[in-house]
Amino acid sequence: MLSIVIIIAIGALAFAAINFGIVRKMSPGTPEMQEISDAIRIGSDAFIRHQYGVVFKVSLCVAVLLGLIVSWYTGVTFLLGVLMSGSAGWFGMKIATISNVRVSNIARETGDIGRTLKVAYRGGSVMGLCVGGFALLGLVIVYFVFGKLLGQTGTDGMKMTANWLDIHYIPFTMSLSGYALGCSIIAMFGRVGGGIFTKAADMGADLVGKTEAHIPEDDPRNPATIADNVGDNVGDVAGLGADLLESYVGAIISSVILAICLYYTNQTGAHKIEFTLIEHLMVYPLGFAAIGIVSCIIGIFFLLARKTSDNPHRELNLSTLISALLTIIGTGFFTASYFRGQATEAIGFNFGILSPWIAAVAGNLAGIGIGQLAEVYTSFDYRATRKLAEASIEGYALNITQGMAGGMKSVFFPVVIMTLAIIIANAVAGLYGVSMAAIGMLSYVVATVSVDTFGPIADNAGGISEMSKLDPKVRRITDHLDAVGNTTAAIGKGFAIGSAALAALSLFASYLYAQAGAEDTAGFALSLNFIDIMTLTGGLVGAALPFLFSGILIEAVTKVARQMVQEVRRQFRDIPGILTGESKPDYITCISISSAGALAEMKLPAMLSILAPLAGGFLLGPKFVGGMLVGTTLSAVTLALYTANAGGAWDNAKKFIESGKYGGKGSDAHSASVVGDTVGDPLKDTVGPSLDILIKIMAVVSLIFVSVFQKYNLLDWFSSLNK
Amino acid sequence: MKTIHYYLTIFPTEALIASMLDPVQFGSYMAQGTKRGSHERLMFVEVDGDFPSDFDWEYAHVRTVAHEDGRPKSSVYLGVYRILERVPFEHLGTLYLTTSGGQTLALEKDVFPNTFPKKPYYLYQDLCPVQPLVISAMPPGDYGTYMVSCDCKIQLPAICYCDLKVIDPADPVETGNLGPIYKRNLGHLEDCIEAVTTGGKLSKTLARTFAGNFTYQIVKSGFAFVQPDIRVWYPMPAFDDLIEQNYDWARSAMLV
Repeated sequence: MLSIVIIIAIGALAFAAINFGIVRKMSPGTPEMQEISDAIRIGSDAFIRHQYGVVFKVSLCVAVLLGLIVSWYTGVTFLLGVLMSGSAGWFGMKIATISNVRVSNIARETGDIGRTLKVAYRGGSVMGLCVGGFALLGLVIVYFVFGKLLGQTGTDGMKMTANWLDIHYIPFTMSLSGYALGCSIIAMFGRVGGGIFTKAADMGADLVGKTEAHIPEDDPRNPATIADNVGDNVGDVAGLGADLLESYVGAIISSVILAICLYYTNQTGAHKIEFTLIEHLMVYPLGFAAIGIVSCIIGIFFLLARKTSDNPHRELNLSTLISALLTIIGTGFFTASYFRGQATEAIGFNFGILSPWIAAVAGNLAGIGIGQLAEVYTSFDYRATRKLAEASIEGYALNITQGMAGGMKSVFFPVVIMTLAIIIANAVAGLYGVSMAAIGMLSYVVATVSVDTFGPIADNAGGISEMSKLDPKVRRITDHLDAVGNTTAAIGKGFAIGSAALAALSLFASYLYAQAGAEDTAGFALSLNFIDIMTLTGGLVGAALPFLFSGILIEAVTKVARQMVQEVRRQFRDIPGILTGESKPDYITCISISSAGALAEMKLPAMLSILAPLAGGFLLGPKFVGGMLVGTTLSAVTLALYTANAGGAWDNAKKFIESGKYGGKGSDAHSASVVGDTVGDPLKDTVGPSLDILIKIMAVVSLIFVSVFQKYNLLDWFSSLNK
Repeated sequence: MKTIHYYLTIFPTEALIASMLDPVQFGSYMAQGTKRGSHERLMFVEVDGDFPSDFDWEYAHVRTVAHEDGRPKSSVYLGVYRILERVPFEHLGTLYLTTSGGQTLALEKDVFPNTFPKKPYYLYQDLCPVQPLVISAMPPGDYGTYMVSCDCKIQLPAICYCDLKVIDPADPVETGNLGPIYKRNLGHLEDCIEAVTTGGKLSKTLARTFAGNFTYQIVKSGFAFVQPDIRVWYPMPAFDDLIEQNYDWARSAMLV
């Protein structure tokens, strides 16, 4: 099975390489277009290089720490995770900066929206395939090297091991956790750093260029406009890719670790689990994910190989739908044949061998439901956003209060859907089913990431068309594709948040299992007593953490955006020829401000996610951290939904007014909606996406270190002094 | 050989300016190309120079010379008070509309239309020399003629104005990109419409200080320049034509 999985992973990467090559061979257009795209590409390259430089230094320190405190293989797999996630982000960013100008040029040469859509989607598919391919490739390497070669997945390897600090753990869980943490680190730095970069540039470009100087979006006279386009690549492409790769890996490893924990704690006794079943349960998520990738390759090929219509939204939906349906059907057959003959009752499969598949389908449907609800709360085709647009007539304050109200209300029903999915998945296949629900949600991640990446590529293409003064027909095509990309992006965020919640739940269960002693092989009761003061206070602190984290992020964006605003004002003041078109703005300084600001400001929130559970654990012990994880998960999931939906609604309310409602552009309602959109920008594109990574990083760090602070913590040390 | 352009600015203030800049450069310079940091809409007409008048043309010729470093002279003011009435409209050339973003659109003179589509009321933005927002029962041709005639109690020696798109008070959502004309006080708009449609009034002032918010999005059919003995008309291009032929201007003017 693993051989097939590795072939599929390599096949996905090969398909990505072919698409990369095809896009690269296309004409990059006129010298003027190339000059603009080169500036964007060089800026993006420079930022990612600097960012990865910082991340790799941090990663080396963390790897050494993991190697010393936990095990050498945790350190090594951690670096593998960093490498795989970093590679996906890097290649995604590269193809985005190559595709943008080619998308613009194909629109210029052909004037055909269908052909332009294909180039943008082909570019986006490279990111999607890299996410699926690198994630799975890394996992298979962990399985082969650490599982098979070092025997961690054999019967002898599935034992509690003690290291030199007398810390106990099951080796393969630490190998997998290290890999997941490596992916999470890149995702956190990518999302936080990219998010600060892109929103600071965006706000700087808008606040001075559009609002003060009255020049339109993507006007080449705006000094921050290239930085804004660079931000799309480093935040919305590289950051998004690393984010969803991390979610994908997090969902897969949570199920495998849970299976191992279930096996270890039920090797003997009344509910004994057979080893062959566990072998199956450990590989099943990989097979499931591999079928998802094959389905997505077919879905992508379906769009690229035939003549497309002039309706890009329909084409993208069709491709995603085909990927999703094939995944569901394919995994159904796979599940039935894979578990045939296995005694699955012991693991809690209440609906026979198809139980994990049913749980995954429940997760999948929940993901679709959450995505659709995101559209209901953010699209101007629905009442909530129209109500927000209407409130804008009465001014800035009511736009803000209505946006907050809509955002808060939008949290409830997605949470109800998640709750139902968790209850159903648990009823069908136990805790393993809950983790499969998370995998089900992300099973066609290749297709969703391809569509999500298509958005920023089209956005950049629009910017290049605008800056190089291409024909209005070209700009209409790229604007249309950009608008489609905006709609699809909101739906993708729902999947990321939903899967984070489900994966965090199974990681949390693993966290509790990881506290089992070497003797707990005949059952281990999972319990967390919320009346216990340590757990309760941990929950309180955990619930407050996402607010602290979000506050730091918003402040960082504000700080860098202020520097950007001052720089753009300075350039307009000191170089008067900019506005008359006689002098070129200094784009490089604006890119440097966003870049330096993002690099400086990303460290604190990223480190907070790692250090918070460690500080809690070493000071107050595992109960406190257990409470903390619950508190953080509950508060971060709801806050992420709020920020994503409120920000999306503010953005689309502005677009609704700009489409000629309530006075349209330049009206009082429009001015109010611009303020709302600016407030929502860091919420939906910096805070929201980072929160779901926060949940998983804290869960994985806690899982890795629980055995350490179970043994070494200040609270127990003080207690021992009193005895 | 130096070329001097003479520009009659009509909005936001009236003035006669001599300049070595061509109209596009002049529009950009006046709208935002200085260190002032201001971003203003500007409307101006190029006029023939040296026509018989009390303007000091000699002063213009002497002062409108390039700077020592070779830069062209941007502006020499020949007058800032009661200018419109002192320029015979036979000498008006092309009208230029400059956005606050510095993009300039040229509108050519046309024959003043004899008839306009019949409507129960019309909305006008007076641009020069006074700037109220007016609801009137008179179509664009009659309105200007009336304003400069002896029949009008508030007679003006000359007037420049444009007719505007009007919100349908019955459907305040589907307004199109009308910009700041969309106000919360729709009741007052309805009162003014009623005054000219059923109340017997010829015109009614809707707002005295709206001009600061005036934008090109709301111009309906064109710009009229009227003196007692002459009327000049500058038709506003159709939306689709603007998008096709003047996309950058249309975008800067927030039409798209």
